[in-house]
Amino acid sequence: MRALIASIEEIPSGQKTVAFVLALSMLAVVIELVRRRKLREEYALVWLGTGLALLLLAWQHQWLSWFQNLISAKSPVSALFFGGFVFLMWLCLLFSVRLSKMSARQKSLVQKLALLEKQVADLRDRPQG
Amino acid sequence: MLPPDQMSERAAPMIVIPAYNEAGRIGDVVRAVRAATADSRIVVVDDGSTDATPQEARAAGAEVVSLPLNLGYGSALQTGYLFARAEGVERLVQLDADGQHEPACIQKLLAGLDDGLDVAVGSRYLTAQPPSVGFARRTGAWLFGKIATLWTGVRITDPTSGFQALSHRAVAHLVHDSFPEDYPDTDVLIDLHRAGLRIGEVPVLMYPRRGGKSMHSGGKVAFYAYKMFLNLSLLPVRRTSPFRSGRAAG
Repeated sequence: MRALIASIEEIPSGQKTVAFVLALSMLAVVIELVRRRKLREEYALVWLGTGLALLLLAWQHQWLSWFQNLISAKSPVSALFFGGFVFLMWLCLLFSVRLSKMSARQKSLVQKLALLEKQVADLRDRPQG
Repeated sequence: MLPPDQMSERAAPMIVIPAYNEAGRIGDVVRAVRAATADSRIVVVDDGSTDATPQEARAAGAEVVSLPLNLGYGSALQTGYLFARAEGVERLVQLDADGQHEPACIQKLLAGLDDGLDVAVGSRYLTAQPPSVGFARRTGAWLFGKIATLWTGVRITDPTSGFQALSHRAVAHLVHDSFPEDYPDTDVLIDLHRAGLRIGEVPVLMYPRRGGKSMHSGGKVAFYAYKMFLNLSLLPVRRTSPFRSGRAAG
């Protein structure tokens, strides 16, 4: 318990302020992108979750220390980096799955378009009457 | 009952030639196919070429289906399958646009279908004088041929051959969303066998490429080997497609 309290006290107030500002900026940017319809709601969800998680960690940083102890990290910063790394890996995998799905759909659409164009050309070339 | 002209159209084989930037070669290939099979419908699937491939194919007397984007050999081929399905074609022959495949052998492949095969694969290695191929290609053909032979129980010597004849049943099986976009080879043959379709090889003549770029060149060979091994390992447990949006185009 003492180690936990000590690690909380280790986080300087400057870092906490930076973390707050970063988390709030991220949330603001995501909400603005959704407002401008540049980011779809389903993709915004993961970024809103990330922004909120950063905000919570900046406010209740003992949770970060709890996570640090859980993974036996030497400092809260390395625990945060580890968490961020795992999260980004997961995100990359998720986007690869999305890309595979988009590729399959694009292929299907392009094939259908080519066949329809051929059909239209055949109908146009067919003698009238 | 269909009118006689439509019935004969369906009975006539459809020759599907996927082509990507084959200007200067495609016209000769189409004319050679026409000379070898007077009654066939020749369809060139232009895979988003940036040269005069579609114009040359049309001028040589082929029907042309033009893909607005370059999708890859497998997807272009599958577009030909989709077209054949839509047209109700009974027999389909596929051959490459680079002049490697001898059109005079089309009849031998079709005879394979007449003998009860659903897929007649043209093998360059069953002829008296097989063409000389590079070490990587020869090793790959041997290895994947052995795998296909073990799996299907049918002797396969040329699993990468793109010179094939397919029955309408085989074509119907291949118009699904997860048909390979680039290399439809060993895994497709095994998939067809697993679907209960009859596969066999027929000796055919093949020549070296007369130009253009092979899809089995450079770093693509390593990617081909990786993809084939992954596909073959997962074949027994793999789902058809998680992205199914009804059925494939067409």
